This record gives sequence, C-alpha cells and structure tokens, in this order.
Amino acid sequence: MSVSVKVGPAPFVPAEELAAFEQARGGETGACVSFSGYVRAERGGVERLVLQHYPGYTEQEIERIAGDAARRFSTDAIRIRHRVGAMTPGEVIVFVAVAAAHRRAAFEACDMLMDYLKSAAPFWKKEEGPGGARWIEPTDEDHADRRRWEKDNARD
Amino acid sequence: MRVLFFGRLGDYFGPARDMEIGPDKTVAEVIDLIGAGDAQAIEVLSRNSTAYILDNMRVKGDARIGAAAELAFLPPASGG
Repeated sequence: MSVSVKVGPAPFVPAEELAAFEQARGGETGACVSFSGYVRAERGGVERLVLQHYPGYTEQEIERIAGDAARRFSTDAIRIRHRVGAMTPGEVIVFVAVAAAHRRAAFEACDMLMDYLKSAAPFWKKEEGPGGARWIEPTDEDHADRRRWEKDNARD
Repeated sequence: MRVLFFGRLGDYFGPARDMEIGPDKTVAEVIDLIGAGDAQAIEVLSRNSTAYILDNMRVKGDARIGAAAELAFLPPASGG
C-alpha cells in the first residue's frame, strides 16, 4: 500500500500523472481509477481562483485521510496532487488516482477522497471576478457528500 | 512564537506575526493578547468554527502553549 501526496503551486498534466501512476502498479492491481478537477469559469463570474494552504499541516491531514481510505478499501496505491496559489479557469487544480485489486474499491476510494478534499481538507479558496473577491466555503451538498463516508452512514 | 492566520482570518489579522508568549499561557489567553480589547477580534478567534493548531496538532482553547513554536488559527476550510 502506498500513498503519495503533493501540494504545491506548480502546474501538472493529469495524463502524465496517470501514466506514471499506472506504470508503477503492482501485479495484484486489477483496477485504476482517477479524477481530474479543473477551475470553472462560472459563466464569467470567476477570473481567478486563489487557493491557500497551511504547508505541512495540509499535507499531513490529506495523508491521514488517504491512509484511512487505503485501509478501508484495501487499495494498492493512492496518488494525490493538489495545486495552490493563483489559477485561472480551465487550469487543473486536483488529481486523485487509486489502484486496487477490484474496480468498486478503486471507484469508492477515489469518490471518498474527493468528497473529503472538497469539503474538509485544509484549503481556503478565494474567487476573484468582476463582482470582486470572496472567500468560498463548502456547500451543504459538499458536507452531505462527505457524510456519506462516515461510519454510521457507510454502505459497507 | 510564530502565530499564523489563514483564509479570511488572514485578511483580518494579517497572515503572520511573531509574539512573545510564555509557556504557561493557554490558547484562549493568546486570543486575548491578539484581540487586545477588540471584542470583535476576540469573538472571531473564539468561534467554535475556528480551529487551533499548535505545532501541527489540533488543540482546544484551554491547551497550554508549552514549548510550541507555532500556533495557527484556521477558519472553516473551503476545500480544494
């Protein structure tokens, strides 16, 4: 089981991340699932997104939840890449890849990790647009998505 | 000690400041020092939704600073 987490300002290419991840898979891996997230333009409402993190602590918290997902779904490998700093619409912001013996574990681990990253990971997001700048907080839907993975609500 | 403020708290207090804080002080007492009589500042930092991170460990307001080098105030996370 391996977990790789990198958070930083440098752009990356999801296809290259996925290729490297799949190339490193072990012989017991039967499924690889990945997710790439991009900055939305919000129909012209967003000109720039600025994402702040707490260096060291943010990585520590993401590694902790990735470890939880790895144990829960018996994954073979997890790779998480997350941008911070200033980004414009169309730029990639997050990449998550999961390798597991079977597809359902890989899909569910990836889904759980994205729900966590979208609602609870220590990032602070400011949208800048024609109407000014505003800090963003998770929506009720984001919180509901994350609660699906709490033990009492778990499907497994 | 290095004191950090993230997200909208950074807009209010500035991103970081260095403070002389004795090891016997609690986080709540540090908030009083930062607020310096500004009731709104103290209220913002004392909200249940504000997380306190002492040398990368989440703590409560009654935690003592001890030998910690860094205290961070985190508003609710936006997520990525």
